[in-house]
Amino acid sequence: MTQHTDYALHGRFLQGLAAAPRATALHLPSGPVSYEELHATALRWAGALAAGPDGPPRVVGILAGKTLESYAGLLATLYVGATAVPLHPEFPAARTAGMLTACGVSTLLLDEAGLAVRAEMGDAVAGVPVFAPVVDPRGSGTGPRLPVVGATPLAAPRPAGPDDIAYVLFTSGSTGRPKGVPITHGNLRHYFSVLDDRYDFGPDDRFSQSFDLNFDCAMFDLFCAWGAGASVHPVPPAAYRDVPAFVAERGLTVWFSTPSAITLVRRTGRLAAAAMPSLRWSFFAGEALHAADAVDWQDAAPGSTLENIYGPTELTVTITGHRWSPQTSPGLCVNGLVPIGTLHDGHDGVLLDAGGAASEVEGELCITGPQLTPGYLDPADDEGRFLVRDGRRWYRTGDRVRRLENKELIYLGRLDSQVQVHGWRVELAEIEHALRGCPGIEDAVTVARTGAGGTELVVFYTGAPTAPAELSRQLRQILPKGMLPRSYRHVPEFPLNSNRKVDRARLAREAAEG
Amino acid sequence: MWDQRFEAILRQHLPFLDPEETLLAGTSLRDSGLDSLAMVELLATLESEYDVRFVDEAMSMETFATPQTLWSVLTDMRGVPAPV
Repeated sequence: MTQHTDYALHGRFLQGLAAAPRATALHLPSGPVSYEELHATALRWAGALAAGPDGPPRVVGILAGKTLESYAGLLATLYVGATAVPLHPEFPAARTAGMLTACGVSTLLLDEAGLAVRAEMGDAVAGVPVFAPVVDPRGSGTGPRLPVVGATPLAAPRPAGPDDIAYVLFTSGSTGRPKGVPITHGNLRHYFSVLDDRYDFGPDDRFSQSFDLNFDCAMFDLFCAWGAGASVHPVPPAAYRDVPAFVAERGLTVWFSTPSAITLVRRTGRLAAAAMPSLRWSFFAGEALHAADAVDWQDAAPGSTLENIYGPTELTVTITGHRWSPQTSPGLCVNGLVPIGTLHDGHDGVLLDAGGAASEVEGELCITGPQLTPGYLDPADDEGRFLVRDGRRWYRTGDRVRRLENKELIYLGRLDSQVQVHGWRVELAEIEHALRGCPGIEDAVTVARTGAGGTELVVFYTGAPTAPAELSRQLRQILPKGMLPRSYRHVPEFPLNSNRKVDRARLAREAAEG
Repeated sequence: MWDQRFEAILRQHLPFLDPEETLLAGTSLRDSGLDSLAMVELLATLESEYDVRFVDEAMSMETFATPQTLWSVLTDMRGVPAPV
């Protein structure tokens, strides 16, 4: 029987497997893993998942770092026809437990770090079977466990339909509850067909893998590389002290990270001319890209084509791109920021002004097309984020954007109080909500400023003066590390503007002044 | 106990530690404001200042937990027995 995996995200891995079975698919710190090996592991794990007490899982929570469990676990989940929910072991356990409950998790796939977090979660996910194929292959740990030893491997990866959900990722929500974003195999099929036309990746390419797996840009790394029979190289934390050395050691040809990596390479004194001659492609996403950073990176990687790519999770990883040209791009920059470029084929965009009318020049960027999520996991979150126009459903990005004369788009700022810190979307309201829950704190206002290492958060609060280390310790129980403020300032009361509202702009100016 | 140079370098990366506050062996570096970017910079600075190279596995939360854990990994790297 022929299995159709044409529509499936994992069909891209099978494409690489067919093209280069003995080639390296994944290069972990422990060594390289070939396409054949990774495929066999994923089939074995998929078989073990399918043999669970309730049959094949519907949703698999993958709580793991950049270990074999994350990569083979993602493939195994897709192979068995389930939805993958990648989660970060360094996020607070209570937050992760909330996400697992929200997505209706059927099975937890864990590495060593994930097992430790699982132990902190208590009863919230008590009945959910645990699959820890590397740490506990016999499934002998406490609680319901699935063994991999003795499991029959899945005969072949299952097909997927265009409406089936490939993964769910969570983003910051203003109410303090993360929002789940489901992305379908159909969304991803369109996304990767655009990328296949746009780039020339081949089996000799070696991709960096800098993003955490609960950050959708990781999907770009994995499935661009695997679709081409190329290799993926997770970047270990220690490699950031000398990025060019890691690029050279692995012979990387494709680099993709947030722009904050450029700052880091500069601050560690490694952003020298032609320091990374092996790179053919350089991609940046997740935060606004500064023209000065693009210029310096281009000099350091002169053989690479540099792109600024942009997109919210709701529109499947990225939805626009600007190809940097040292000759013409500097003249297109606004406020020192690189354009985000034009929309992917098949999509329509409209800029809406404050009154909701379409503008030719400037407004909130709203997008519709085949990469659009079917809607949040909790339909209540859809309120205000989507609009119907011309009989179609559009996503409101919340980003204020200008259309340049050459039709490319450029990012100007946010309409709401969402910011991006090292690529993580942060609702300032979520941080304020968390702070108001700390003993002694009456009220709090959070503002963003540009620091030496990129965007940083500064908190102003009223109530009892509290040691910043104490506030930081408490927030760490609730918020992911990427959202933690860099500075806490006690004020007797907040300054008010002429409308008798808290003057956030003034506080932002004070924070920027240091 | 660590040397002056170590304390001076470390303090630069701890925004929540008041200059008058004593750096204790068990002070939590993360609570004192050491984030992951600062960790990389701190690592690079310590390597060049002490002329050592941390093995990749040393770049962990455990190493960077407190001044004591970090100093003891650093002294191990230098091949000098850690003072008790």
